[in-house]
Amino acid sequence: MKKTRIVGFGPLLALWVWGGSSGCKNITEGQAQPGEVGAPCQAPAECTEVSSPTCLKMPEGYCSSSCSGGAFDCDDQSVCEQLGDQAFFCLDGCLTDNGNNDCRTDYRCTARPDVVNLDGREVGVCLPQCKVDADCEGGRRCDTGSGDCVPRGEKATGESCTNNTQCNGGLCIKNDSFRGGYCSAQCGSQFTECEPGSQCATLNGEALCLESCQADGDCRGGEGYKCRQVGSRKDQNGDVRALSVCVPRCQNNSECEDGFHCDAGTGDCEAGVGDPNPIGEFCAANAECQSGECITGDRWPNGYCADDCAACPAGSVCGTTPNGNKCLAACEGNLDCRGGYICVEGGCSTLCKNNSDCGDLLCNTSSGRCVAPSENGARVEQISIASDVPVTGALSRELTLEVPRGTLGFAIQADGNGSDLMIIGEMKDPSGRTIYDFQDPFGGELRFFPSADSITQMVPSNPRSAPVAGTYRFKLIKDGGQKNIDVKAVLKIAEGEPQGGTLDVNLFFAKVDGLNASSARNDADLQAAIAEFRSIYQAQGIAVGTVNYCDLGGSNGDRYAVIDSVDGPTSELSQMFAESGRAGDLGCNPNQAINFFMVQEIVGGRAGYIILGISGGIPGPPGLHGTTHSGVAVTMAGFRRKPKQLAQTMAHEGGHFLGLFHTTEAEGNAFDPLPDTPECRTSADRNQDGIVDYQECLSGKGSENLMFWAAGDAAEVVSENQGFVVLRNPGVK
Amino acid sequence: MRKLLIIQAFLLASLGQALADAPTVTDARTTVLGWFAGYEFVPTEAHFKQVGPLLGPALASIALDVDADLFARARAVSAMIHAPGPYTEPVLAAIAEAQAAESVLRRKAVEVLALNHGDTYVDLVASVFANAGDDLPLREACARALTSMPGEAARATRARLHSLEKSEIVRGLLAEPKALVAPLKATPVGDRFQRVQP
Repeated sequence: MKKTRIVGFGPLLALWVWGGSSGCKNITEGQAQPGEVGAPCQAPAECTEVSSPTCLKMPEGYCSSSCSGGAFDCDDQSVCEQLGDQAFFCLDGCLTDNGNNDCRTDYRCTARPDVVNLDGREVGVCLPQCKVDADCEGGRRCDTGSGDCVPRGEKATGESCTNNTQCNGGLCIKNDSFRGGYCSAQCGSQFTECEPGSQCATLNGEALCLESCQADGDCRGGEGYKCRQVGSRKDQNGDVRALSVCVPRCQNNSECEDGFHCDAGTGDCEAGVGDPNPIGEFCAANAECQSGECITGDRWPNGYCADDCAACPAGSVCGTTPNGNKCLAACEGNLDCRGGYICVEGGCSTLCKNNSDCGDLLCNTSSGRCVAPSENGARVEQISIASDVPVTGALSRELTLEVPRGTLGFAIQADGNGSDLMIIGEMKDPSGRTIYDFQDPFGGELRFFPSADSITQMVPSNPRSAPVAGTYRFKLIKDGGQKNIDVKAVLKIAEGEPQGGTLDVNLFFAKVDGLNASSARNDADLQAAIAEFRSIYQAQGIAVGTVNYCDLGGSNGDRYAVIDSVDGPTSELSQMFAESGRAGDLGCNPNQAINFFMVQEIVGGRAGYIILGISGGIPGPPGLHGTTHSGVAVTMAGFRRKPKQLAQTMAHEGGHFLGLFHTTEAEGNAFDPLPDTPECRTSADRNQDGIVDYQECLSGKGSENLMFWAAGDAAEVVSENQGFVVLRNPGVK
Repeated sequence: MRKLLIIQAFLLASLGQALADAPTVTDARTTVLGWFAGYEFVPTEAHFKQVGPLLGPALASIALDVDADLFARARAVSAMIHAPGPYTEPVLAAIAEAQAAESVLRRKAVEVLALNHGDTYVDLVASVFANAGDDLPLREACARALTSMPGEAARATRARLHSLEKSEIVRGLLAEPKALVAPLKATPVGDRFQRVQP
């Protein structure tokens, strides 16, 4: 008897059953008829051919019914599919070799990997045509002309790669473990599946598509990959089948988490110590260390193999610790150290937790370092790096910045590129390590944000990327054409750790109902907003200093009352920001201050869709007036009803200007680079609308944070790490 | 204002019936209100499409809810461009005409009326313009609305108002329709950059 594959599977899995079994169904050509699964609807009652019908919120409605994920759920022409993380629904089946003809207008036939009908034709399900890349599964991109999702690159999941564009799934994993690169895609969220021959698996907390395999020989063994079972499932007959994917073999203990060691034979991280560990590795007893000394206790998470400093072996250095001078694992940066440890004076050492750990020094609880208190305040230095640097669509020549000892933060500014987007394409720290790569924008220590006309890119983005003394090397890249760019840096330098900071503020008024520079000083509602704004920033250790009031005046007051365009250097928004160059003439502070432009409204979308505020950059140019990015704009319409909302908007947009990203973006699939801010993931999307909103992300999931994408009454929390970043911005005195 | 109140009462009554019949109207309202809370987030047409036929009633209920956040109400009025039809058309007209309504709501209403219904509301928009007084942003919005109307009546109205208008900004809007109908140009991001919502 011949085996025949039939349809009716949950995502990722294809089942095998014996052909001719009762209950088989067979997808055939043709669109859904009125009332059937896949037909348009406005209410469930219109789905007359569906038992227990529901009308899904898809374009023009979509008749369906819930199902449980089984092979024989749903009627003969529909397939049980998982939509989102939880719910299963019957979707209209289609044949992929018939294009989109089996689906309604504006719907596409989306293939189901490894699933065919009784005639051997590949089967799919009808889903709405894509509009944007985020609508596509498996990391593919949306061809907006056809509404189809198409591969991004040439290489399949599991193949070697050097950048994202080479991979079908749009993601090239590159790090010390994934030798030679590994094509992949993000998966696991709504409508997101892996391409045929790969499976969705969790790797370090991220859901990624990995190459399917049955034996080591299926993987790139020559480059250190092996086939590892990551789960199992029962097939239709109740037989347990292994789910295996190609993963890198471990090569040394440092690739394994604390409590595990790398077994050279299996290439897996196995529980326990294995051979005695070298200096710097985890331990629970002296016998587990080559040196014979294991330091344990609260300050030393998972133990630390160390030794007295009489003769530190190769790969270790002598350092001062709360337990005296000890041999510590050598390092050049924090990434060389185990989790819970930092690189101090070339050795991986324990983090301080409070001032009592630091003797005469102070403990910076964000960085875990013992530091000298600042005595003379911070100073800001501007350095010209290069002029007329040709920048094109390829990485520019290498530029360098000498960062002196005591630098808390620095911003690199590149001016004069016109309307094309520009960004630092690559940056290496003084140890030579790549800390930013534009082809892997979320994979490095830093987070940069591209913009047009001029850019400001700040270091640090988080405590792990705190500047170290030495030479930083970087290259620029832009999104088309060639321009000669001037590059400079602004550095914030102090004798010790910042204990706080001061931010002077300029308020520029466009023509806003009942408010101008003169009346604002005594306007109860505005002053209430400013008081709230001060309070929010005080939690970051920033004192809002002098508030200066000035009018844009004359025709500019009218012109910028309603900001109708926000993109590009010729937009109203950018032109208004450039007015900050007249700060002194208008009665505001021409020196170091953040510029807030108070306007009637800002239009950010079709039909006058209002946005509450917008920043000139993430970050904006610190202390620099007169550029097309030199400020923050805030919508004032209706502020008297809710001064607190105006305060939150000022604080939120000011946070962007000082270098903070959204802790969670609206779709729940992108987050800031800070480890201590909560992330609200798609699993919180209770109503399955593709957006994680304020209510869905309450109760510790992140919407209480000031930098959450949406506003709300309680959204004023600022984390320690967020304070760490803004206090290092050269714009904060 | 009286007309607005009547419309409000009518719609709330019919919505009340709808709510009693189908609690999903409440769901739709809750869903879009969640989107309207963003600082900079602008929902796309695809977002609104997934709400389905309940979008119009949900947006109308928000726009008319005097207890709702003003920004949410203004955003609901703008979003009516995605839900033209019997639920939104009278609401837009009533808000546009209501002199006691917030200016920001009226500005959005005249623009969406023009975009959704073309020349049908030339006279109404002209009337709002004429009675806008010193409210320059409202006159600007009316000028933009008239410019997006393609017919001869709108063109003649623009010419008439242009001759009376004193603000150079509004005169410019009335005189240069080509510059007005151009949609906001999104900055090209390119494949190399993954853009984060600013």
